Amino acid sequence: MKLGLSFAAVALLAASSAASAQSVEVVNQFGPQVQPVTINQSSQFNVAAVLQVTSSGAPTATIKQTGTTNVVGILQFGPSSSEATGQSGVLNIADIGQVGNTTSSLLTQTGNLNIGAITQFGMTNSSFVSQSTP
Amino acid sequence: MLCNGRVVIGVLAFSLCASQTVLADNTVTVLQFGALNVSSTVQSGNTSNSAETLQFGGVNQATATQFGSIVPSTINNSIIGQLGTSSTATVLQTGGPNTSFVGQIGAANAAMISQLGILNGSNVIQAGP
Repeated sequence: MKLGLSFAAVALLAASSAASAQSVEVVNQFGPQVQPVTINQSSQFNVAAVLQVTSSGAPTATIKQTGTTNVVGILQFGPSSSEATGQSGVLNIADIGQVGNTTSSLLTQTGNLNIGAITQFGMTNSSFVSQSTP
Repeated sequence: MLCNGRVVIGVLAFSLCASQTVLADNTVTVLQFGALNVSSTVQSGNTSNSAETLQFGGVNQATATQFGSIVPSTINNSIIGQLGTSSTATVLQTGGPNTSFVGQIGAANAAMISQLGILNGSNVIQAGP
């Protein structure tokens, strides 16, 4: 009986460790107005995917990731699209796509291997990328 | 004839872009389509930095800054391609070897490349109407 409880405890501990080892968040927003998206992830493996589609709103996404592997994908369609992403870890990957009248992107990556890709379609496009290795 | 020349330059630029894209410590690609395009990239890497910026629009402004060490050597590679009425490209590289390519097609083109390192190479192609 004790052995069974021990196994159960170990299984619960393992499940809880596995849950904190990875974090996956997916946000999809469609409509005339969309809410600002803020994601903070601090697991070992972090994935954030944001899709915002609006006709008159201002898609805004702010993502912060701290972990070993961080992956961000953002796709925004709206009159004024903006995003800010900060990643800190060993491997950082960010892929950002923005379509709108005004697009703005801020990407900061700190890690051993940093990969960033930004694609913007708009009347006024601005992007700032900072990448650094420790 | 001039149109053919532009096509050749464009193909050359994109061929260089495709051939020089490498996976580095820091790798960034910026692609912008619009009336006003502004891009700024700052990279600080130990082994290698690679930045590629392509802008298509009326007014284009691109700045690529790459910091590395001369010993041990940090490979810096920067590519800027701009098509528009007015294009400005600025490249600052520290490390070595440093390579940069700037291709600009438009009425007013300006490029500034600053390289500090043991082995530096830069190529600028500008074409106007």
